[in-house]
Formats: sequence, C-alpha cells, structure tokens
Amino acid sequence: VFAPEFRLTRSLLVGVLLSAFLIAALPRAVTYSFRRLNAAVLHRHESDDAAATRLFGAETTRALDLIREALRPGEPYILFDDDCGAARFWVRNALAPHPALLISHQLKRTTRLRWVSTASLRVVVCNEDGSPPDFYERREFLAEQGVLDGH
Amino acid sequence: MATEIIAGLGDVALFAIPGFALADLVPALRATPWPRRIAYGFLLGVAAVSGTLYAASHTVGVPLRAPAVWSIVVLLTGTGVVAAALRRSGRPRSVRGRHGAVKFLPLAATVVGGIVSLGVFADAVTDPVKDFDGRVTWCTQARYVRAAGTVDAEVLHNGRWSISHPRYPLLLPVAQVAAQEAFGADPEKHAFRAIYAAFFPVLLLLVYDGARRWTGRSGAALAALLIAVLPVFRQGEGSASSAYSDLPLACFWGAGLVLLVFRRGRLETGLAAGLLLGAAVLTKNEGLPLVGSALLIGALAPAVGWRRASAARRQRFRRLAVASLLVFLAVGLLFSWKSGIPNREDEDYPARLANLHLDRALLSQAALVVPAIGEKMADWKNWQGFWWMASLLLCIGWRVLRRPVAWRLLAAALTPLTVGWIAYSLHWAPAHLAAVTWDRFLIQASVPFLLLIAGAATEVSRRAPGAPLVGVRQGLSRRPRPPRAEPSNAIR
Repeated sequence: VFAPEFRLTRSLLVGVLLSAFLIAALPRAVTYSFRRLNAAVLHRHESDDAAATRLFGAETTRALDLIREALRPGEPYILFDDDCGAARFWVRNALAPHPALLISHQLKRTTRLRWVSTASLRVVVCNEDGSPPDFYERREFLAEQGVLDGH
Repeated sequence: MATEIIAGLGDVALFAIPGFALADLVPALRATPWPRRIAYGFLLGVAAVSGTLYAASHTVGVPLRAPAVWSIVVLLTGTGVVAAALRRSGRPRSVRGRHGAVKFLPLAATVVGGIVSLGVFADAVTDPVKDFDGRVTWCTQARYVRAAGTVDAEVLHNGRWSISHPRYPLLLPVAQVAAQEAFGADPEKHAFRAIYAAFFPVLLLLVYDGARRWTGRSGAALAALLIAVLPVFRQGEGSASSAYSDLPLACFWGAGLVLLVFRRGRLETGLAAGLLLGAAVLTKNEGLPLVGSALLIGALAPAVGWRRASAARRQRFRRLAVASLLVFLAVGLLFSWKSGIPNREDEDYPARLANLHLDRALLSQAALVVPAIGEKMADWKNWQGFWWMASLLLCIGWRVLRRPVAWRLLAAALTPLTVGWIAYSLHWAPAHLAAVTWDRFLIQASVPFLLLIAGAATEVSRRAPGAPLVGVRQGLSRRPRPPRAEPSNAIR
C-alpha cells in the first residue's frame, strides 16, 4: 500500500518515538533502583521500630506502641475520631487485630458521646487533627467530657 | 536486614517452588524456558496455595496456621515432583535450547528489568508498608484474618466493627498470612512485602512470554522494557512497591489470557488457565468481569477453518470448559464467603446500579470523568509521556489490527477500562474516584495492551524496506509458511 520511502519514514518515526520515551524514562528507572538499593544498605541494621519511626514519625510510633501495650490481647476499643483526614485508617491498621468501634467525626458531638457512654468497651483511642493518637479509660474520657458513664 | 532478605526470599519461594512443580505438569509451560516457567510457577503457586487455604478455611474451617500451609505446599510440590519422575522414567525427552545470538533489545530488557526488580525488592525489605490501601485495607484484613486463623474473622462478620472494604476478596492477604504463619513471622515484620514485589519481575516475564509468541524476541523485549521503565509499575499506589492487589490481578488475569489466547495444548493448559483466572476472581472485585471477558475472548475462535479443524476446535472448547469450571468454583467460593459479611465503609455498586439508568449515567458523568482521566494519563511523574508515544505508535502501526488476535487483545485491554468507567458512572464523586483509581485500571490492562504495542511496533519494523526478518514464530512473520497438513488454531 505504501511506497518504500513512506514505510521507511514510519519505521524511523516509531524508532524515534520509542527512543525518546526510553531516553526520558530509563535514567529515572535506574536511579530509582540505585536509590532504593542505597537506602537498603544505609538502613541495614535498623530495627522494625526504627523503620516505623523513620517513616511515620517518633511521636506517632511511640503513641501507638503505648496504646498497643494498654490493650489486652484481642481487646476491642473505641476509636473516637476527631480528624477530617484519613489518619483514623492508619491508627486502625496499627492497632489491628484489635477490633475498632469507630465513632465518626461526622456525627453530632452529643450522639458521639452517647455512643461512647453506652459501648461496653474499656479503652477509648482519640484521633485528633495533626497530633498523635492518645488513649483513655472510658470513664476517664467521659469524665473529661462532662458526661456520666452509661448515660 | 539480612534476616529480612532471607525471610522475603523464603516467602517468595513458599509459592514459587510448589508453583514450579505444578507448572511442570502443564506441557505448554514445561516447554517454556525456566525464567518464564518460574514466573508462571509463582503465579500458580500463589493461586494454588492461597486459593486452597481460602477455600479450606471457609468451607471446612481449616485453621490458617503453619501445619495447613506446609501440608498444601508439600502436597503440591510432591505431586509435581512425582509426576515429573514418572514422566522421565517413561520416555527420556531431550530438551534442546534454541539460543540464537543475543540481540540488543532482549539484553537491554534483561539488564534493566533485573536492576529495577532489585530496586523494588530492596524497597520491600527496607521499609514497612507505607502505601494507603496497602495499610488501610489489604494488610489490615491480613492482620484480622491471621489473628482469627480463618478467612471468616469475627471482625469481618460483625457489622459493629469498623473495617474498610470488608467484602474485598482476600487472596493476597491470605497469601501474606500463609507466608507469615509458615515461617512464624512477627506481625510487625514486613518481609511479606517481597511477595508483592515479586509480581513485578513476574509481569515482565509474562509480557515477554505473551509477546514472544506473537511478535518474536525483539518485540517481546520491547514490551518488557517499556514496563520495566514505567514508574507507575514500580513506585506509588498500586505498584509493586505497594501492597495493593492491582498488579497481582494484572498478572493472574494476564497470564490466564495469554494461556487461553496464545497457547495451543491439552487440558492441562486449560487447568492452569482456570487456576490463574480463578485466582484473579479471588484477588479483586474487578476480577470477575475481567475473567468473564477472558473466557469470552478465549471462546472466540482464532480463525479456524470450520470443516477442517473440528479436532482443534473440540480441543479448544474442552480446554475452555476446564478453565470455566475452575472459575465457577472460585466464583462460588467468593459469593459464599461474601454472603456472611455485612457491607459497611464500601461503595455498594450493585445497589447503585439497580437505582440508576446506566445508559444515561455512562454519558452524564463523562464531563467530570474525562478531564480526570486525561490528567492521570498525561501525568509525567507516573507515565513519562507513555500514552502520547503509545497512541502515536498504535496509529502508525494500525495494520496490526488486521490480525484477529490484535482485536482480541484490544477487547481485553479495554475491559478493565470499561469496568472503571462503569464504576465512575455509578459513583457520587466520579472525578475523585477517577483521579484515585484510573492508573490502577491501566495497570490491570497492562498485559494485553503491551502485547498490542509490541505487535504494532513489530508490524511497522518488519514492513520497513530492507528490514531483517524478525525472529517470529507465529502471527507477524514475513517468512512464507509451508502449507500445513493438519488443521491448526495458530495465532493470526
């Protein structure tokens, strides 16, 4: 269908396209790999805690460790969420396999506190905007909020 | 670090060894060079070990603990080894390598693919899971399942407890749990990330294998090289560095598709394809429509003469029936498992579908969805101009669409994108959903799409005046074929 010159042009065009793409993408791919290998060598003696601290921050890692210690094996907890972002999901993952009863920030405050007061769970984990998660005994939490337990 | 590396390699071997033994039972895979056979073996291993655990845990309550994992691994490996020993004791079969001169592109693809795979593996053994869905959904589910020792964990079944996407299929979390249980890993260790990382070299080898059968070595190497350098496959959400299930889904579905479309062979090939497609069903919700399309594409006959090729046709339909049977079993398992889990914190697409006019919704959201999709595909950070290059290349090499197999690949590549479009049409925030998920649908479509790209590039290069004959075995060869004495379902 096509003249030989045109076929040659097509072939050259494809060659140029592929070469241009590879020239743009290849260095980044190789650099990525060497960066990751370098990081692996740099952190070769790092503990799991240190790796978590490096990625998620010292305060958050420490706070989550304390909450894990406070919870009994398999014990469920109330996740009182005051954060508009997605931090609650990260907290829930870090505390899994403890089941979480989520009290969403989207509910009215009075409704949320009523849920906390009627849930027969011991620990309340508070997740606030921009600060590491914190935890309370439920009675202590409700007393701070000025609500009587069970009401 | 050394312990993480060893543990990571151990986790990968836990699936690769029984899978390799299983691959030895499939003549079409047995004849494949060993790197690609390991890739298929890894996929078969994850599918068989994790799928069996999933089914055994749900149906008969087998606890997801080390004895169950090792029993399945030993049983599968033993079956493969015994079958291989019996076969070898029967009739010795000489295996001859067919190595030609090493060309530039295959060498480049091997070197670059190897370097990037090392980088992905290094990331997996250095950092804990740091991607959003990996932490929030998949690994959290794995923690609940491991603690409960069953895929029917109380946290999933009790609607009181907060959990993201409780009805997402759990094949990969079960694989993660199997690896952790088999080696008694601490829950805070992240060596299991190596399993997710292993899907990257597997994808490269899989694309190479599929394209090799159609376009020859250079076209296949080009396809693998393109995947190796594309950032979206190695870093970020949904990539091999994450703990998402999109890359595994691309591999399972792509491998099943390659076996159905490109491999002739006996029932064992259908069995392997069925196992892989069944795994795709159990990997993600999108797996079901994707697998449906793969079976349909497999059923569409590759231009076989109706009078002369009845034997080949019968063979193909038998193979397809075996694959479909395994897929139906996987679908049955998935629906049975889901039926006991109340939905919360998840989009209920079937309910939304019932309340909407899909035909209108498909177009009405376009004004919101198209810009978001365009923005994702033009994103330099993830794609580096790939879609501009790919679109032009497909336009220049349009003649590849004269081949029926190219249409089947195109149909397959469009399936995940169609699923995505339907989901956006039903969603209350389509632009946001498209911005978050479109790249992942493109990852799912990668195998058929890259095969198509390889086909187009090869088609152009072989038509160039003075171009050497591409080392092609089927499909795009310039070499005149001798007339066949027997009916064939060769790829056209």
